[in-house]
Amino acid sequence: MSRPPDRPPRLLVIGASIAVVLLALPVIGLLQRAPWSTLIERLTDADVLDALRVSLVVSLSAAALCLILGLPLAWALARLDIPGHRLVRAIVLLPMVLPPVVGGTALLFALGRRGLVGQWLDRWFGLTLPFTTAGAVVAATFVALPFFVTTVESALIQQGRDLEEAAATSGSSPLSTFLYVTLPSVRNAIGAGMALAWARALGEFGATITFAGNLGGRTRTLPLATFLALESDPESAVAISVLLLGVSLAVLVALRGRWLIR
Amino acid sequence: MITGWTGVAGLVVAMAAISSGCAGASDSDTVVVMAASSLASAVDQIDESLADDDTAPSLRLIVAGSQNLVAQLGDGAEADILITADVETMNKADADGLIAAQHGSIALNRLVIAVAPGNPGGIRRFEDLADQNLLIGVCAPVVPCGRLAAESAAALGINVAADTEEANVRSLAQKISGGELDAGLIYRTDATRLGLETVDEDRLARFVNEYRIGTVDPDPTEAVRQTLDLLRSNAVGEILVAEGFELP
Repeated sequence: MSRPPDRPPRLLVIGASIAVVLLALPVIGLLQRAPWSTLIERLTDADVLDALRVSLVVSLSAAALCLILGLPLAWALARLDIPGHRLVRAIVLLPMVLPPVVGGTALLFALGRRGLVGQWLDRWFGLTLPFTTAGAVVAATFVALPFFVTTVESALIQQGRDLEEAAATSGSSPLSTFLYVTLPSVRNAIGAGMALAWARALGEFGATITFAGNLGGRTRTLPLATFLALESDPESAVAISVLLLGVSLAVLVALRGRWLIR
Repeated sequence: MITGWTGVAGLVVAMAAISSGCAGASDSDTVVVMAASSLASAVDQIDESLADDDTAPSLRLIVAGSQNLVAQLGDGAEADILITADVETMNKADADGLIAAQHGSIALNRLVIAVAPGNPGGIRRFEDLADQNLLIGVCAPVVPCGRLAAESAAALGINVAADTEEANVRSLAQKISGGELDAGLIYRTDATRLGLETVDEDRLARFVNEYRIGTVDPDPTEAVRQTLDLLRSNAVGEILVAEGFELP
């Protein structure tokens, strides 16, 4: 039995098709139930616009924090020989496997008013993180950071040290090497990592509602607004979900051309 | 490999067994009871107390927020009895045609101001909840506890400076108990369960949620009727009172 050599294996095509259907069906289900006739009216409601604003502020701030904190960590994991390397990696991956509500509860135990560190923040600086927008940013950063770090770290490992060693022998200082050689060499991964982190932060629910609470205009993000709307006005919940879908798609499509591979 | 008519017979028997297991709640001896989440601990105790009683039907409990339960019914979930945390939710279920009959109230839950252990906010009266400098929590207005809290604030003419509107009363009570909030408006039962101090109780005396009970099937089975009577019995009443509920 002969087959043209470049025809893809049927099994893989079937598998891929099932995967696409699995991912697309819920989206189709959502769009099909959306209250299209009242959509604009529902989405321009003051409460929804508030939630959109909070969501954008929180998710973008979290993405920025992921960049600032995640770059050094990714670099350290990829380039340094850290004792307890495996433990550090496990800690980095932990927010990915922890149920978000557990993560939020853990954040309360650490940074809440009676928390390990939080109690000192409160006593010495009068700084309270729970029930504030900053708290929502912390919760979102906590869950999104692993996505950024793992993306950039694997790119750094793949890149290898050749360019950096060449720069070092040419007399570049370690920091300059990092800024002008290392970073540009993994800029695609940094972009992809930020997109992933931002998307994760935008969709964050459990840790936010547990740590930062839920108050309109301050901590009520779009996912929280959706959840509450499900209790009283399911059609509004679907409308807000469509909005979330639209915002996510818009950004991911916009980034696709510039940051993601291909 | 079992072939021929033996195989077919075996398959039919197997399918019958599976389908009877998956059939609607009223087909078997298990009575499915949907109960509002604030009743969680009470219904667990009721279920336990029935465990040794052979004459009592076996219960399958579904505990969730009242609106969530009604939404599940609307989406086609199988249940025999519904207990909501307030009259409004039960009436809505009734209006939507999800309930065949209402059977009155089985419990009352009072709204209280619970304060964090040690009362760090120094809260004594409802008016203190308007203090912007304190961390105050309420339930979201869409859940029964939140509706009651909003009603009480409106009736007393006080603008509660809430820092969070929790999705359910348990998580709110937990945050007060953990000291993350200075105070909050929760149910008496949650305050009792977590041993929280309450203040200014007399003024809130008239703010009460009624737990309404309803049946889904217009022609309930004997087991369902038995369960209904059981839930309205003195024995269950005692369990409810011990949890901090009041009887209607």
